Parts: sequence; structure tokens; C-alpha cells
Amino acid sequence: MQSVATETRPIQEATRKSARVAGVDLALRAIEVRRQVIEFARRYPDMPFHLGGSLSCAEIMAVLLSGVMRTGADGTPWEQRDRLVLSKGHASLALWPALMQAGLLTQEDLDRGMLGPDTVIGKQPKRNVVHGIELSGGSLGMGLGYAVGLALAARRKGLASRVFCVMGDGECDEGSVWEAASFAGHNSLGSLVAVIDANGLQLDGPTAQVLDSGPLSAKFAAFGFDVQVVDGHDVQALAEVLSLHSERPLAVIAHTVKGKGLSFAENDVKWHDRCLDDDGYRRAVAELEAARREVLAHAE
Amino acid sequence: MQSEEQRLCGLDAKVVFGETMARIAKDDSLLTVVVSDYGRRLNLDAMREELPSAFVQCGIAEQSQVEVASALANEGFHVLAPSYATFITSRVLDQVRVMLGMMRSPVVLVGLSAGCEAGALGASHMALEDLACMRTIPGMTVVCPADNVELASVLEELAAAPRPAYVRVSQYGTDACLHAQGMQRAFGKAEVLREATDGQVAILATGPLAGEAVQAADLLAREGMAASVTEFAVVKPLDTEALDALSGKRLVVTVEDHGVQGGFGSAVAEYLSGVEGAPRVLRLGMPDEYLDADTPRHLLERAGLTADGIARQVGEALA
Ligand SMILES: Cc1ncc(C[n+]2csc(CCOP(=O)(O)OP(=O)(O)O)c2C)c(N)n1
Repeated sequence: MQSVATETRPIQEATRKSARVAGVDLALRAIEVRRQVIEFARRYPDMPFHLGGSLSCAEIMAVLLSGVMRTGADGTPWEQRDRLVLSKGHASLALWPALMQAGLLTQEDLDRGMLGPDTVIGKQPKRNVVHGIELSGGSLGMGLGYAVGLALAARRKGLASRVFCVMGDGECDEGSVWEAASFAGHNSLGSLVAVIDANGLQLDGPTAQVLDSGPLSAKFAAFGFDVQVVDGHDVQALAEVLSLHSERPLAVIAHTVKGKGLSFAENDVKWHDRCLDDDGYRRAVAELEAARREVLAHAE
Repeated sequence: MQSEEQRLCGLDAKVVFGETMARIAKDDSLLTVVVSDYGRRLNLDAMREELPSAFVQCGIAEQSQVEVASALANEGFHVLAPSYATFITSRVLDQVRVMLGMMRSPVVLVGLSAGCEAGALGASHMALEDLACMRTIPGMTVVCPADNVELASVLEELAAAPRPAYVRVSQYGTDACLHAQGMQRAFGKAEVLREATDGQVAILATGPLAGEAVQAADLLAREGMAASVTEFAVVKPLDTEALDALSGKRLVVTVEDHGVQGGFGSAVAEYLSGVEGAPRVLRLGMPDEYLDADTPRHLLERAGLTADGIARQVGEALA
């Protein structure tokens, strides 16, 4: 079967988009994502939230949704929008504020909370495409295969949509990740971008101790991906690599810190999921405010 | 002074799992616990100290976990494979069919946070189809302990005499300690928790909701309706003698924190459908749908699985 020729998107467009929300603003948005993550934990003080892995991907979420993606809320015809698949669904706390910043969710949607029927958001995402939620999440290792399917659908429809899939480095233990990666490489799905939030920790401990199967960059390269390794907290660097395209699928290995932004939670496996008490909340708010001031000071 | 049973009942089931493994490891050098990035919460330090090679970490790779566990079991080790209930059953169903079913590999799968215990994590983490999946595998032993005393005893029984098995662990924080006097019954036998010889209603329960069933029987008794309560920890093979004993009843009510389809109630109904003049069966369980995230208590209340809800539905069925 002959594949329908894909419309190649002018490269300037991606560049224009990342210029729209410039570096300082993206950095502030990432901090605001963290703020919101903390607010959710505050609202449900008895629920052990996945704070570590939500905080580590704040820049990734903010840069994708406010800097790189044509979200559909930005005037892009809806069918032609880029798709975001959050495969590590437990990091949904970072997805909600980033979707709100992109205009795909409202404050009211967030205020309805996460529990019970009649909510828009949950502790794990529930597919709800009008809000940019493509995948019901929670069960690890399923997102990349779904993203591959979305990329294939876009190719057949002749759409220029790109598909971004955010995964955990621990999640890459799952065999299904590599089944999907094989397909993406074999079929040269150039519109697919796998973003690995490589924070070096999973549930039981350091990823290198739980199951060390060699560098992810070499593995994705072996499966036919272009690979970019970046500092996952550097919004400019992220915006640049996430805007790259070629004929091949792209894997972005974003080195991050689990629990980023909360000194007491950083690189500590206990904060994979944990309740945030009053004192923790207060410290978090103060630390995030200091981070915000620092970004502003640098900008001047 | 608090008894050992009461102490156990006050603990998180995952802590009890680890304590039990540590105890077994003292005498059984073949013990093996194969995990998939869910070992830290299982209180396994003491076991690992006693028997370091007993701990096998597969990473977040449940299919690999079941394959590795099966081979170890077939090579003579006494293997338990714990994970979130939904991932160690539905996610690996084909591995379970081939390895525990066809090959009869004597692995004890342990499903944690089953039922709606993980309700706050949403539909992906609730295990409401796990019993249905596991009990349709030929040759499987399927057990839902009602409390931690029973859990520890079931784990010891299965580690000592491994077989293809699934132990389903759910806990709601408000559960009764039904075995405060220790385990009195033989493995596989149903246990009468409330007698009501002349009553028309028999409530049969599996898992921690057996405690709610007992309270429901109390509520019904207050309204002049005598109901017996029997706990079936072992859902497969089902204690059919205990079911045969129900022949004179007007209504059999099954209670489980599992979908109403395919679980314990279905097993009971399947058996009774072959019995002449068997009583009518009312199956109480979680609705046949994927539910939004919520606290376990809210989910159980909405499904009518608390004492009040059970009593109300029994009353309605007899009205
Ligand atoms: C199939 C499956 N197995 C196990 C889990 C339980 N679980 C939730 S998060 C997690 C660790 C994830 O680690 P990683 O992908 O590195 O995410 P991060 O560190 O960024 O939170 C595990 C094992 C799950 N959600 N799905």
C-alpha cells in the first residue's frame, strides 16, 4: 500500500510558536504548574499524590503545551492539532495546569476536583479529547503504542499533526514500550516524539538499581529513532529539541530531578507518592515563590 | 493485652505480607518473592536479610515477572509474585493462561489493593475483574482473605504447598477482624460467621466485605429478618458442600468488592443453577462499568456494599 504523502509543515511555524511564548514566560509557566501541583495536594491532604514525577515534568508539560504544540486552542483547525499522550498518567497533576495554560481546561474544570462522577480531571487522566486528554492513563507502558496509532492515523489522513508521548524512565521497563518503538522505527513515524522524563527514580528506588538495561538514548537509537538528550528543566533547550523534525521518530531524553522545586522532595524516592502536610505545603509555596523571583530577576 | 490476631488486623496488609515472608524465610530456603517495582512497600527487609536471594526484582514489567516466577516455581522454588491486583491478573492474563494454567506452574500471584481499595487512583487501578479473570483459568486456586489473620494463614498454606493460585488482597481501613480468635477452619472450607438456622436468608461473602455482611445481618435481625452469614475465602475451588447446605433457604445473597459479573456471585450462581429447587440468588457487587476515581468508602456506599446497603437490598428482594 502506498502511504498518503504527508504535508510537511513549514519549519518557521514551529519556530514562530516557540517565540510566541518566550523563554522567561515558559519558565514562569513551569513554576506555575508546580504551584498548581502543590495546590492539588493541599486540597486532598489525605491522598498520597504522585508529587515526585509530576514536579519533574513541569517544564516538559509547559513547553509542550505553551511553546511547541499546535494545541487546537490556538487557532489550529482542530483535526490538524498536535496530540499529547501522557503515558505516565500518574503525573496528571502537572498535565491539568499545563492544559489550563494552553486554554484547554478552565479553572472551573480544575475546581470541580478529582473525585467522584461529574469531574473533568481525575487523579489519572480519562480520555476527553475536547480538553486535550487523549489517553485514559494509569496503567504504564500503553501510551507509546497509542501515540504510534495516532501518528499512523495522521499519516493516513494526510495531516501534519505531531504526536508527543511523555513517559517515565522507569516506565521504559515495560516490554510494550519497545513493541511500540519497533513499530515507530520500522514505519519511520517522523511525526512521533517520545519524551522521556528521565528523573532516575521509579517506585522502588533508583532506576539504575531496579532494572538497569543500558542507556535509553542508545536503545531508542537502535530502534530507529533520532535521539536528543537535554536538560529537562531548561525550557529553551526543550523548546528547541522538541521543535526538531526528521523522517524518523524522535526520542527526547530529558534529564530531570524527581520532586524538582521542593528541596525536601528532590531525588527522594519517598516522594514518589506521598501526602503533603501543612508544613510541607508552606515550605513548597515559599520555595516556588523564590524560584519565580529568581526567574524574574534573571529576565531583567 | 492485645492479641496477636488483633495486632495483625490493625496493620496494613502489605506489612503483614512482609512479616509473613520473613517468618517463612526462616525455615524455607526456597522461598522467592518476585516483584515488579512494587517491593519497597511490602516490608520485605527482614526477609531479604534472612534470605537475600529470595528477592527478585523485575522492574515495571509484569509479563516478565510472571514468566520468571513460573520458571523459578517449576525449578522447585516456592514463589510468590505480588503486584497491584489489576496488573498481576488482567495485564498478564495470557502469561497466566499459559504458565499457571496450561503448564500448571505453582506460582502464587498476590493481587494488592484489589477491589476498590485503590479507588482514589481511578479506574485503571481498581481491580474489579480480577476474580473473573483468575477463576476462569483451569486449575487455579483463588482466595480472598477477609482480614490479615486469614491473609497470613493463606500465604503460609500456599507457600508450604505451592500451586497455581491467586490471593486477592483488599482492605478498607474499617474492616472487622473476623478471625480475632485465630483461624478455626480448614483451608478451602467456608466459615459460618452467623448462624440463622430457621432464617430464610443466607448471606455469602468473600473478602473484607464479610464484615459488612455480618453487620447487615445485625440490621436485618433488628427488623425481624434472620439471616445467616458465611464467609467463602476460597472462591475456587468453591466449597459446594456449604452451598448444598443452603437448600431450604428462600434467598441466597452474595457480597463481594468485585464486579457483579464473573466473580464470586457468579460462581455461586453457576453452581446453584445445577441444583434442583435451589434458592434464588441476589448478587451484590460493583456495577458493570468503569468508575470515576473516588475514596473506597464512597465507591462502596454508592454500590450498596456497606452494611446499610446490603440490608436494604436484601429487604427489597424479600418485599
Ligand atoms: C502497568 C503498571 N505497573 C505498575 C504501576 C505502578 N506504578 C505507578 S508509578 C510507578 C513508577 C513509575 O516510574 P517512572 O516511570 O520512572 O515514573 P516517575 O519516576 O517519573 O514518576 C509504578 C511502578 C502502574 N501504574 N502500571
